[in-house]
Amino acid sequence: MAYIEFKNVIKEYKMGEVSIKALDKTNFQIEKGELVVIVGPSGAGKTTALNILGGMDSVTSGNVLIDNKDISKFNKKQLTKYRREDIGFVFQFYNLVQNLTALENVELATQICKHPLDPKQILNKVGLKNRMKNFPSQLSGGEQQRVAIARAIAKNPKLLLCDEPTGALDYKTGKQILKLLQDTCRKENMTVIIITHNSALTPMADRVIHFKNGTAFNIEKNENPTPIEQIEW
Amino acid sequence: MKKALFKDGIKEIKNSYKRFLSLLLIVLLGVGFFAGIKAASPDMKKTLDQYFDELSVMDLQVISTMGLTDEDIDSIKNVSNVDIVQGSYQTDALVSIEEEEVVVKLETITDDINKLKLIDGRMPTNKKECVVESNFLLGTNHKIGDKIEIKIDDITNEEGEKQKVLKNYEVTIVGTVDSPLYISTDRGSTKLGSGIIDYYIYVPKENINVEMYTNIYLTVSGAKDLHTCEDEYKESVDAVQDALEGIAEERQEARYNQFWGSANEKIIDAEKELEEEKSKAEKELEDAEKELNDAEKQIEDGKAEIAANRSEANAKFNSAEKELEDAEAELSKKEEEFNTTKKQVQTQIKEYEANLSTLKQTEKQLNNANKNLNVLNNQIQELNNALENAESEDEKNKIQEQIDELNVEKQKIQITISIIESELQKQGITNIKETIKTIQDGINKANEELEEGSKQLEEAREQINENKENLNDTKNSTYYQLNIAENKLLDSEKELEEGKKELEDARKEYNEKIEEAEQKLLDAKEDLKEIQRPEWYVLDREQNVGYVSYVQDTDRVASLAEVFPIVFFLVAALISLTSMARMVEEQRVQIGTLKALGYSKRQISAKYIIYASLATILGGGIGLIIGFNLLPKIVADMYSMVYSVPTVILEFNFDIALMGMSAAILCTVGATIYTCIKELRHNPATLMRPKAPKPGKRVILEKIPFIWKNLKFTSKVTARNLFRYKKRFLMTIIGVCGCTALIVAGFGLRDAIANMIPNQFGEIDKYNINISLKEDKYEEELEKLETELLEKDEITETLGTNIQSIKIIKNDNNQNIQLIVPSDVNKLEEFISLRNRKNIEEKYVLDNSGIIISEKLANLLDIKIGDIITIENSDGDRADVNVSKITENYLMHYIYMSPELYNEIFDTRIESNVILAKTIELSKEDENKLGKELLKDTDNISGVSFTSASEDMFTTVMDNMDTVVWILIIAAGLLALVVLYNLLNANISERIRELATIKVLGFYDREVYSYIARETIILTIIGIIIGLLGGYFLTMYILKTCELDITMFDPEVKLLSYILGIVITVFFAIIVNIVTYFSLKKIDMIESLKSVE
Repeated sequence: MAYIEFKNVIKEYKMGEVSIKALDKTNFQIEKGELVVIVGPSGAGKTTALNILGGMDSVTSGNVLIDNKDISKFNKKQLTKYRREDIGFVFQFYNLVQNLTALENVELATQICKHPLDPKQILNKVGLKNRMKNFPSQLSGGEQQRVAIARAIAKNPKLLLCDEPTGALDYKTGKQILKLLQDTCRKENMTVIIITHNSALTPMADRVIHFKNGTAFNIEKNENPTPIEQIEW
Repeated sequence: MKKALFKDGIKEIKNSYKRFLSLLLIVLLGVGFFAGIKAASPDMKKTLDQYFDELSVMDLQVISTMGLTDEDIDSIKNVSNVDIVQGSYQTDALVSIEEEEVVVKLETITDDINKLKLIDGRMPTNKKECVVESNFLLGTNHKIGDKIEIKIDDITNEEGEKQKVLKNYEVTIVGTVDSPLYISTDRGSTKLGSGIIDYYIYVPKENINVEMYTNIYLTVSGAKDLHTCEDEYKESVDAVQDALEGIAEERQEARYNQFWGSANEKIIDAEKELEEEKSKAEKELEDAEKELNDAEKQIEDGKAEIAANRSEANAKFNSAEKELEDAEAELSKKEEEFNTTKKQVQTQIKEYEANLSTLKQTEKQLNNANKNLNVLNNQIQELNNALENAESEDEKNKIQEQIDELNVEKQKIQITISIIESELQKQGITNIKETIKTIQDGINKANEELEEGSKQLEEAREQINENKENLNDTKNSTYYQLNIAENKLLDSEKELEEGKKELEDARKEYNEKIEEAEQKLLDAKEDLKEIQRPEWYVLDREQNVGYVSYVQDTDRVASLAEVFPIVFFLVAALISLTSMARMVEEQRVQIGTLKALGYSKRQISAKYIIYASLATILGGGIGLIIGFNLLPKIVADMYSMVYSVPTVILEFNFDIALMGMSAAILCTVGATIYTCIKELRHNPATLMRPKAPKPGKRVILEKIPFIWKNLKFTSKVTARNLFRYKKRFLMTIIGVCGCTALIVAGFGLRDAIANMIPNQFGEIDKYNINISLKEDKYEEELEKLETELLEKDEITETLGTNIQSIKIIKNDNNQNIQLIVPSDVNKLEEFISLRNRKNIEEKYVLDNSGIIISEKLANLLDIKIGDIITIENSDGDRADVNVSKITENYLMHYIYMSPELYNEIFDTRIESNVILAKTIELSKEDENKLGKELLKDTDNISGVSFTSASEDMFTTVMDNMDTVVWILIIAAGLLALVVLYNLLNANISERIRELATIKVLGFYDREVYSYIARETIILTIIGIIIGLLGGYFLTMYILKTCELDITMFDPEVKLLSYILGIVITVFFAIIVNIVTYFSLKKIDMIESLKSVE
C-alpha cells in the first residue's frame, strides 16, 4: 500500500450557477520518502490537489489516504490536527510573519507540534546560522524561503508540501532552494511534494506527476533522479 | 468629478459598509454630544429670553433708599428709549393660613411689566384676593379658595406717622402663578420668621395702602427683540441705565426735599426742647442745692448754739456745784466742830453725871445716915424713956447699955455725917440738893444745847441736800433739752446728707439724660446726614438672583461640551486615519492604475475624501439631529428642579452645528487627505507593485532581557504586534478608555446624585419633622412642649433647637447659611449626624471649642479646620468663632454650634425656635394627619414640615439621571464597538495572509483567535485601566461643573460604578471578540497562497 493515495478525487467549485471541476477523478500514489514533483500548466488542478493533500481544502468526492488515514473523511478539527502534526508547507511567497524574526517564525510552527525539531539547529542546517535574529524584511528572498522551509521542516512533518517554492526567486536562488529540499528529502527521508509549472525540474524527482485539466494524466517513476545541480533550465 | 469615479466611490461604500458605518457612528457620537451639550446652554437661554419677552420682564428697575413716587415714574417715563414704566410695592410679610405661618415676599401685581404667568385659577379682581406661587399651595397643603392672613409691620411715612401697608390683611387665594422674577428656588432672606423667604405672593395694587413704591420697573424699547444674554441687549439696556443714573441726582434731590423738611425740623425742635429742658432742670438742681446749703448752715448754727448753751450750762452748774460743795464742806466742818464740842460737852455731862451720881450717893448716904440717926435718936429716946421707967438697975443698965451702944452708933453716924459734911464742905457744897439741882440743870441745858446744835446741823445738811437735788434736776433737764436739740440737729444733718446725695444722683441722672438726649439728637443728625441724599439704584436683570444663577448654570453645561466629545473626535480622527490608510493601501494597485491612466491626484483622492466626507456628514447630521433634540432637553429637565422656566425650546443651532461639523470634518477628512497625500506621492509603478509589508521591529521590551526572556513565545508575538501598529494601539486604548470612562462617569454621576438625598435625609438628617415654634422656648417651657409632643404615638424623639439664618463675613459671599444650635448637644447625633465624609465612623460632637460647618460651605469659602471666621447672627450681631470640624453635608449650608458657645460669644441666652422630631414609619396620609394635628396647637406651633417632602422633590431628578446614564452607556457602547470592530477589521484585513498562514501551520481556531485576541484583550485591559482613572476625573469634572452652590454631590464614585464600567466595557469587548472569532473562522487558507496584490 502506498504511503499517499489519491483515489478518484473530485473537487468541484460552485461559482453561482456554474460549477467548475478543479479535480476530476484524480488518482495517484506516492511512496514514503519520495521527492515528488507535480507539474502542469496553470489551472490544471495541481494546487487544488496540493491544498487537499495539505488538509486545507476538502474533496467533493473520492478518498485521500495518507499513512492509512482517509483525510477526506476528516472534519475541520481533525484536518487542523493533521496539518499541525503531519504537514509542512512551503509557500510561493514564503508567508513569513513580518513581525517575527527568522527564529521566531520557525518557533511559531514548532510551539504547536508534538515532536518538533530544534529551531536553531534547523536554521543552522538551512544555512541561516547568522541570520536567526533578523526580521524577514532584512532577509533576501532566498533566505526568506529557507526560513519558510526551516519552519516547515522543524515541525518534523510526515509530508513537506511546497507550492511553487522557487516561483518568486531568481534562478540561482531557486536552485539553492530546490537543493535544500532535495537534500532534506534524502537526508531526513522525508516525503517532499513540490508543485511547479517548470517541467525542467522533473529530473530531480523520484516521481513526477503530470497534471492536465484536473487529472493526473501521467505518473512516471524516476529510478535515478538527477541532483539539482546538474539540471539547467 | 468623473462619473466613473463617483460610481466607484458609491460602490466602495457599499462594499465596505461596515467601515463606513463605524466612521459614521463615531462622528455621530462626537458631533451629537458636542452639539447637544453645547446647544443646551443657548437653548435654555433662548427659552429664558422668550419667557421673559412673553411676560415683559423688566429690563431695569429702580429702587431707592427712601422709596419712590409717582413723580419719579413720570421723570423715568421721559427718559428716552424707556418703554413701559410701572411702580410696585414689595415687602416681606408673614402669612398665616389656618394654623401655619410662613414667610413670604409680597408684591403688587404689575399689569404691563413682569407679568405673572397664571398656572391655575384666575388673577385677582379685587383687593380681597391674591395669587401665590404653586409651591405655596404644595408646601402649605392648601388650595385655591383658601383664605390667608397677611401680617406686615406698619411703616412710618414721611410725616413720621405709622401707616398700614395693606388695606386688607385677610385675602383669598384665587390662583397660582409663576413670577419671572423668581425663576430659581431662592426667594432671598429676610429679618422675619426663620429668616428665609418661603414663597412669593402677589396682591393687586388696589390693596396697597401706601402712597410710595419700593421698585419702579421699566422696559427698554426694542430690548424685547434682542436676546437677553447677548451683548446687544446689554448695550441697549446699559444706555438707558446710564440715562436713568443721569436723572437720579435730580430725583434724589426731590425726594430728599420731601423728607428733609419734616426730619430736620424735628431735630431742631428736639434741640430746642432739649435746651429748655436742660435749663429748667439745671435751675431745679440749683434750687435744690441752695436749699441744701441753707439747711446745712442752719444746722451749723444750731450746732453752735447748742454748744454755747452747753458750755454756759456747764459753767453755771459747775459754780453751783462748787458752791454746794463749799457749803457742804463748811457744814462738814461745822459738824466736825459740833461733834468735837458735843464730845466735850458729853464728856462734861458724863463728868457731871458721874459727880451727880456721886453726890446723889453721898446724899443718899447722908440721907441714910440721917435717917439712921433719927431712928437711933428715936430708939435712944425710947430707951431713955424706958430707963426712967426702968425698974431695975439691970434693966436700967441694960437699957443704959443699950442707950450707950446706941449713942456709940449715934456718934459713928454723927461722925460719918460730919465726914460727909466736911467732905461736902471741902467741895464747896453747901447745899447738896441745890448743887444737884444745879448740876442736873447744867446737864439738861448742855443736852438741850447739843440737841439744838445737831438739829441745826441737820437742817443745814438737809438744805444742802435739797440744793444738790435741785441742782441736779436743773442740770438734768437742761442737758436733756440740750441733747434733744442736738439730736434734732443730727437728724437734720442726716437729712441734709441724704438731700445732698439725692441731689448728686439727680445731677448724675440729669447729666446722663442730657448726654443721651444729646447723643440721640446727634444720631438723628447723623442719620439725617446719612439719609440726606436718598440713593437710587438702577438695577438690570443681572441683579436678579434667579436670572444670574440660571445663566451661570447653563454656561457651566456649555463648558462640558468642550470635554465630552474630545474622545469621540479623537477616535474619529484615528479611525479615519487607519481605515482610510487601509483603504488606500488596499487599493494601491487601482490607484496606481488610475494614476497611470492619467487621473490627477486630486481626482483619485476625491473618492476617499468623498467617502470620508459622506460618512462624516451623514453621521454628523444624524448626530446633530439627535444631539440638538435630546441633550438640551435632558439638561433643561434636570435644571427644571431648581428653575421654574417653561419647557426648553429646542433649536437647530447653526453655529454649533457648523462648529461640530467642522471639527468632525477636520478630523476625518483631514486624516484622509493626509493619507492620500502620503500614498499618492509614489509614482504609478511603485503603486502598482505590492507595498512592502511593514517591516518587523524590535520592541522596547526586548531591550530588557529578563522580561523578554521570560515571556512566552506567544506573548512575545503579542508584544511585537502591539508595538507595531501604533495608531491602532492608540485608537483602541483611547476608544476603550473613553468607553469605560463614560460608563464610570454615567454611574458615578448617578451615584453622586442618588447618594446625595438618601445620605442627606437618611444618614445625616435623621429627624422626620421640623416643627417651628410660635415663640422661642427655654428649659421648662420647652420641656413641657416636648413632653406634650412625645405623648403622640407617632413621635418618638424630640430635640429643641435654634435654627437661624446667619452670614459668614468673608469675601463678600452671599451664601445663605443656617445656624443650628441644639438645646442638648448630646442628643444631636440622634437627629443630625455630624461626621467625616471620608470616614463615616468618625462622628463629631459639638463642644465649646468651636463650630462645625458643612463641607460645601467650607469648600466654597475656603475655610479650613482651625480657621477663625466671623459670623453674623440673625440679630446682626457679629462674633468670631473657631472652626473645629467640617461635616458631611449635601444640601444647603449649615453651621452647628453648642448653646454654651452661642451664649458666650453673643452674650445672650439662646432659646429654641424649632423642635426637631423623629417619628415612626409614616405614610403620606399619616404625615398629613400628624401635621394637621400638630398645627392645632396654635399657641405654640407655627409650622410643620416633613423631610420626606424634600426627598420627593428629587425623584424626578433621579429619573433624569437614569436617562443620562443610559445615554452615556449607549454612547460608550457604540464607542467601544466601533473602535474594537475597527481594530478587528484592521487586524483581519491587514494580516489576512499571516492569519491564513498560521491556519495552514495548523493553529486551531481557538489558537488563531487568541493569536489576534490577545492583542485586543491587552489593549482593552489597558484601555479599561486608563478609563477607570479617566472616569473618575470625568465624573469629578462633570460634578464640579454641574454642582450648584447649595448642593454638594457625593464625590465618591462607588466601587460598583467602577465594576460596572469594567463589566460593561468587557461586555462590549466580548461582543466584538465573538464577531472576531467567527470572522477568523471564515478566513480561507487559500488566501495564504495568493500573491501579495
